[in-house]
Amino acid sequence: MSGFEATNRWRGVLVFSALALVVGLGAKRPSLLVLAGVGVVYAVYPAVSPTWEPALTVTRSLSETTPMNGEHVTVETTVRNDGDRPVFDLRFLDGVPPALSVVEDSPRRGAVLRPGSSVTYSYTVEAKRGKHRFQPATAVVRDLSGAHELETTVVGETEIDCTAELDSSPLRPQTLDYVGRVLSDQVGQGLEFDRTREYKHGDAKNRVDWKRYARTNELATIEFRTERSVNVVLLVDARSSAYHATDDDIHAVGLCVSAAEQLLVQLLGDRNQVGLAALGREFCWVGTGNGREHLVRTQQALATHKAFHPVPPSNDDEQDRQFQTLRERLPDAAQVILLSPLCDDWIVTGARRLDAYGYPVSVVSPDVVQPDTLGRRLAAIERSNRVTMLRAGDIPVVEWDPAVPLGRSVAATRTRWLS
Amino acid sequence: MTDAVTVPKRPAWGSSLLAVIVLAFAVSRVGHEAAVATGLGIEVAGLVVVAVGASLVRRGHRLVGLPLAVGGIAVVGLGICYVLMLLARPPALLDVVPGLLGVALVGIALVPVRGRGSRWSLRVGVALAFLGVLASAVLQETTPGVQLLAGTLCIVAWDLGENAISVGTQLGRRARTWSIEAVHGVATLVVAWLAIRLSRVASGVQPPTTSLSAFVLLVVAVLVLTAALHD
Repeated sequence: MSGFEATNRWRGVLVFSALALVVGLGAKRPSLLVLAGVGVVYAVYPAVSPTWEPALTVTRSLSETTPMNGEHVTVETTVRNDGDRPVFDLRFLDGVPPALSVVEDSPRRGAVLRPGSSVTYSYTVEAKRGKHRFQPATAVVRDLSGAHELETTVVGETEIDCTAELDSSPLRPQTLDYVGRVLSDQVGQGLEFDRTREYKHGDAKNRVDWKRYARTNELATIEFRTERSVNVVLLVDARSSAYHATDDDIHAVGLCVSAAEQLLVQLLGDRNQVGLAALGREFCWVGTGNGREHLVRTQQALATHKAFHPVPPSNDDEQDRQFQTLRERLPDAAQVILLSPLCDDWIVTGARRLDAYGYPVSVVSPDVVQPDTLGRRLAAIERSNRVTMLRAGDIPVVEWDPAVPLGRSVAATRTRWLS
Repeated sequence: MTDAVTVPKRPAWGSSLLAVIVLAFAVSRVGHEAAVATGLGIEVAGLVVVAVGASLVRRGHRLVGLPLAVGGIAVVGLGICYVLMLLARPPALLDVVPGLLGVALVGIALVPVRGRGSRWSLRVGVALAFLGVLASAVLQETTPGVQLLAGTLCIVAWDLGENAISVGTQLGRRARTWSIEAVHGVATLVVAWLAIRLSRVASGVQPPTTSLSAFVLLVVAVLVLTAALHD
């Protein structure tokens, strides 16, 4: 919060006074001297106009907190004067999330607030895919004369969540023997019945299916399937080349962040170890882990880390160094799910390198190239070439049409692998 | 294509209209003939037509808006010429014409004809009207009471116009801003009334015929003090 600043809007009123004074003296008109006095009063007015710091709070209510893509959401904002002095001139600008656009009415309002009173107004935004947080609102307060102005921000936590549920994730069938290391011969937690097979000499006695023996007098051994969990790192491509969008939809980084959110929840729900990384304006890294606290920490990173900012960065000069850092930090045998629109060749090379280094890579790629102009058709062809190149290197690519929920695209890709 | 709305940062129309009307009223008091009042009425009507035309053009209806705006400007010119032709006394050119031009300039500043409104045009317009008031005092065409009222109203009009531009720049025309404009306008009018009363009292203390120089020195002293306060 800064202090009050002068707006200098009353500058010049003394000129009127001086003019009246000069003419009045020159032409000997005392009435003009009286007029000069009026000008002086107006010049003194801003100096004696009192100013005090306001205490404002903002609350919002949404017509729909989890809208569908493209749905109109009405935001009702209430600004309250919590101080004990009136606010004579409040110019309020609500913090609409940068990725959303206002389609009806205005997020700006002027209000005069007595102590304790509030003003409510509403406007409508169009929802786009992803989670959108409201930014701190800007409040400009002026005193009665308008000569002093204070610009401050008012924070109110509100979020619009426009993501769909995901029910399968594109994991490759390579696992980590995490649970196996913990278990010994004892039957304990984490074991699931798999199948029975014919008894072989030397099998452990507590693995024999005695119930079956009692029924049929045949010896059979039960095989348990050890619970397998996976070490996964979600890698989001947030470089400037990835901030592509079709004409009116959210850009690819926003889509990738939303997809990362869904994958995160689903993978952690399956009791895997999940981490997060991003290449872009700033390197983002959240080490693998699981549990509720880890989920919250990772979601927090997705929502607030600078790398995922909705406004694109200006350059990509650190991408090689960030790739190096990523390679250093990746845990052994971790799977990498790369979320990228595949808008340049660097990321394709990077994905193939990671795969060659021993980190199996799967790719989820939102298709944000609309082939309507010649240049865009070329870009679409280049992109599909990249997808082919990745698939030729045995890296599965889920091509995601943003108009369709992610889960459906993943299921479609899976069907293609198996067939 | 999204239906996103853009924020038009043009001056708030309530304060703008009030500023033009207040200034027109001040000029009509200075030029106390009926022709002046009629001419000013024509001018203000022309400015309203220009405003409507300009907003239509901005919304894309060029075919209707452009002729309307041009027609409005023609009406404003018509109003000025009307007064010039019908004015009985030649010296009135000095105190009425600046006022007429001033109203036109203020209207052009606030419609706005260009971008977010023009503070420069507003200032020049009000200054011209004020010069008209001073000229009327020199030529002794008006009573001291009228000069005081008209001069004060010039300052009030300037304040209203300036506030309209700043509200427009910060909030835009789509937002509801009448409450802050009203509070600011009322405060300015209260100060105007106070200033007129104080000045009347001050002038009543010293009779205008004696110790004019002492009174002048007093006013100069207050001016110097105020300038020091400003910095």
